[in-house]
Amino acid sequence: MAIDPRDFYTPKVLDAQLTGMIKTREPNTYSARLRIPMGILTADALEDVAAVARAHGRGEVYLTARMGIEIPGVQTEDFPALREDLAARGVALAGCGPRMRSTTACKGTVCPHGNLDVFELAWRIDQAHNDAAVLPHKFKVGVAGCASSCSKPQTNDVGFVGVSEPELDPGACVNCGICAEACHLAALRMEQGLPAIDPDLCVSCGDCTKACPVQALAPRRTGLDLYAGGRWGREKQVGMRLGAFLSEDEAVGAVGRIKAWYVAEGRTKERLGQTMLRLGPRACQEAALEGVPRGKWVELTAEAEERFRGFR
Amino acid sequence: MTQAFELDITGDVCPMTLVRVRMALDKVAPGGVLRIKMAAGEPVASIPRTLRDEGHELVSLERSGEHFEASFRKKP
Repeated sequence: MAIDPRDFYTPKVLDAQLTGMIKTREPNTYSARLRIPMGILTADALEDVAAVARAHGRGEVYLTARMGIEIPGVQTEDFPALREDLAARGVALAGCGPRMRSTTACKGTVCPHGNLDVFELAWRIDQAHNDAAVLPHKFKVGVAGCASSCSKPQTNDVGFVGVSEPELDPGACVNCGICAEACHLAALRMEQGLPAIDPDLCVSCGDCTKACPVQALAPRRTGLDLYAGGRWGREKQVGMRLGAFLSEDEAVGAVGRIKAWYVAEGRTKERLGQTMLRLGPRACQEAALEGVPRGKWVELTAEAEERFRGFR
Repeated sequence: MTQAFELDITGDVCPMTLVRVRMALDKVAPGGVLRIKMAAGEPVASIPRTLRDEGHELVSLERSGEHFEASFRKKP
């Protein structure tokens, strides 16, 4: 199939990119990307999507890597009708090109390991910040409910991980050792009949507090760790941890402040992680955590920055 | 005093561990005791928590080697 690369840069295609139209290798044919935050659709909306795919596509849908849906096989001239059809059914087209993407999330709201209502936070972030603004490059936000990071938030430009720090009530402990069984990283061991936690190994997943049958181990504090600058393209960077134990309000605010910093400082076609390397991660941290208590700022070590440099 | 129901799930893996606990619990009258022998690791990390969250009372918990034995009183 012959493609003229110039097609990608014509005004028509640029405009199309901004409205959920993804160019495909088939001539004059696009894929329509739908806006589906957290990958959640009602069954009724799913039927609407099916109807639109039959009417304007090939009767197929494509499940994307970001938990969304695309309708392939849409002809250019049919795109306005598809857009109207979707709008009438309350389904929006998604950001593509240099814009924010739909916010992804794990199932931490219902998962036994989750430390917060992940859907609620991801939805708040998406509602507050997923607008039509044109950015230097794509901009992705992901949320995970615990350190298992099933939604891979550290590969997003901004990522959050729900964390929970355990605290022991020695008088309530029955010395059963279940907490040590629940710890996947051997960060918690029974010593003289009581759990002892190695802070260097603990990732604040909270599994020990959840497993404790007598609630002798309970969360001292819970919150969100903030990662920034992740990306998973030809070059890869694992997001750098900038903040720890943020509140949900602080997390929602941090996305807006990082986005504003990125718009002000980022160069065209530069991902946030590259901007952070060019200007130093501290500059991004200062913008992200403005107004957040200093105790929640993660110390940015040379070693962490070296790891953040990325790889191919 | 009612007799305790006994269940050995040391040979089962998730999710059959919890499925068998639920099936056994169905046979226990409210207020009755279910005694479960389970392996260390994932079963003991999740089953006591699940039963606690559902309102059943942990009566006793002992470790014997690689296994745990836990008794629960079914919620009234």
